[in-house]
Amino acid sequence: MPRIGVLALQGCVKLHQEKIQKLGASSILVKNKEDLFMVDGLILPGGESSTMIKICDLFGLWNPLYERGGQIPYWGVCAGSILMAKEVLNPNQKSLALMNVQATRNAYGRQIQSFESNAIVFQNKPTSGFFIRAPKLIALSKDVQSLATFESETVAWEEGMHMVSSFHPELTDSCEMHSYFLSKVKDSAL
Amino acid sequence: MSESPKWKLKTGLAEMLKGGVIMDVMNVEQAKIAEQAGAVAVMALERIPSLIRSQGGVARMSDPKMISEIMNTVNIPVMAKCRIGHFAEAQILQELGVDFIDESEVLTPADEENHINKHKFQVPFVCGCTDLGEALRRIDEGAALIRTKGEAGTGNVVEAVRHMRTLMKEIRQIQKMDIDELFAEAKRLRASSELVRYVHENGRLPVPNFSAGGVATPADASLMMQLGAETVFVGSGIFMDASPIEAEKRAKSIVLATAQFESPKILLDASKDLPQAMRGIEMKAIEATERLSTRGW
Repeated sequence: MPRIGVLALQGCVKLHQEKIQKLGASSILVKNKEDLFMVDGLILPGGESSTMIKICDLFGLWNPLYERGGQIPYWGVCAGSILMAKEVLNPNQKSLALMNVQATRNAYGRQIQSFESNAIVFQNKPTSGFFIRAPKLIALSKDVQSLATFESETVAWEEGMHMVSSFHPELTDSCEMHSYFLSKVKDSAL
Repeated sequence: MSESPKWKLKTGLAEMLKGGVIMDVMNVEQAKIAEQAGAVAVMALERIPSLIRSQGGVARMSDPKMISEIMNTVNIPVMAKCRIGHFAEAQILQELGVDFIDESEVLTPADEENHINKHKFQVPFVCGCTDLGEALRRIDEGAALIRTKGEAGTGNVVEAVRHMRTLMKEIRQIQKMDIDELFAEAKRLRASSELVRYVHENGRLPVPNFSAGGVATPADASLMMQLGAETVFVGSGIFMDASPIEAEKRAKSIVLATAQFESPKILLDASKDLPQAMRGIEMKAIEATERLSTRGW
């Protein structure tokens, strides 16, 4: 079974770990460079992207994170998707640029505009997720494929081995997105 | 379980703040420093607790104009405080669009019997506690996040430790109890038996558990995280008696220490060569009646 890391610098780490374990894979908290090179796939969780960037900078973890992103699948959730995007707006900030995606921070508004939906369409089936001060994600290249939509807008994308989602499936009872990421990790390990 | 509208959206935002530092800021410049240093959120207030303590008088909700200036400046969540029981202040803050409301003992209480019925609000609330009973009463009223109170504005971590130790010990005790004993325990704690049962089954609060009140150094932050806090609030500890450069240095070091609270090697680096921490107050120097942590019931 592949080992799935969850970047544990800040944010909603534990719930991803629980989902991964529920699916029978092992999960490792990634706090430093050594941890990063022990895992076969990495979830960059929700939290505050500006905080995660700062902590990476303070530890010298930014470049290893970029380098490892060329080797194993990453899944960026909410703040994690902002870290993985090629371009970031509101405000412009540095990113790992692992996917040809543009992320606009807090594009749905403040917490009062946060919402839950069970009408996200993933693999032609409805699934649920939470949009919490969520970004909007736009594809910058035809190589980026829509993975999930909500009200005709794409809310999850994939490009090669990587994927991003603007919503939080880890706050729901559903395991579909985690199971999909796990299969991507297995495919890339072959 | 207490189910208010958008309950999981409320606790969901609290989940996103885990492993971080929430910093008190009094103006736009401080808010920028906090964001640049890696704060996960800021608490906008006109006077940090150490100033409220020294200046006295009735402490109220801050001017919404000042809060909105901060909301327009930073991209991280902005929290603001209302007085205990003052639901009109909370209505104003919700209308303003703050991301979290702190029904806080740092301000002068407006109701000595009732806290706010937080289920009525769309915006999430955080409330302070000194022990498990108080935490569960606040959750019953709709708080989506609990912070142990500590003693705000002192720069002295001793009360924060006392409250976190008490809370975690009581959680462990309930976990070990026979299920038949939970009803009497709920009565003793003056808490809902449903919430007591949740603690018995899960060994934790049904909402995230943060720490506040007296954290002044990277080591203080690590201590609270190791005792069970999932994030720390730093009130006066960053901007009190500090130039902007000193404040940023303090802020960064506390962010680092919180993120890597289990690594003594990183804590050592984070603790080196810092501007002197705020002077602080010994608990014996504060009359029992002057303690902010005794507010709220």
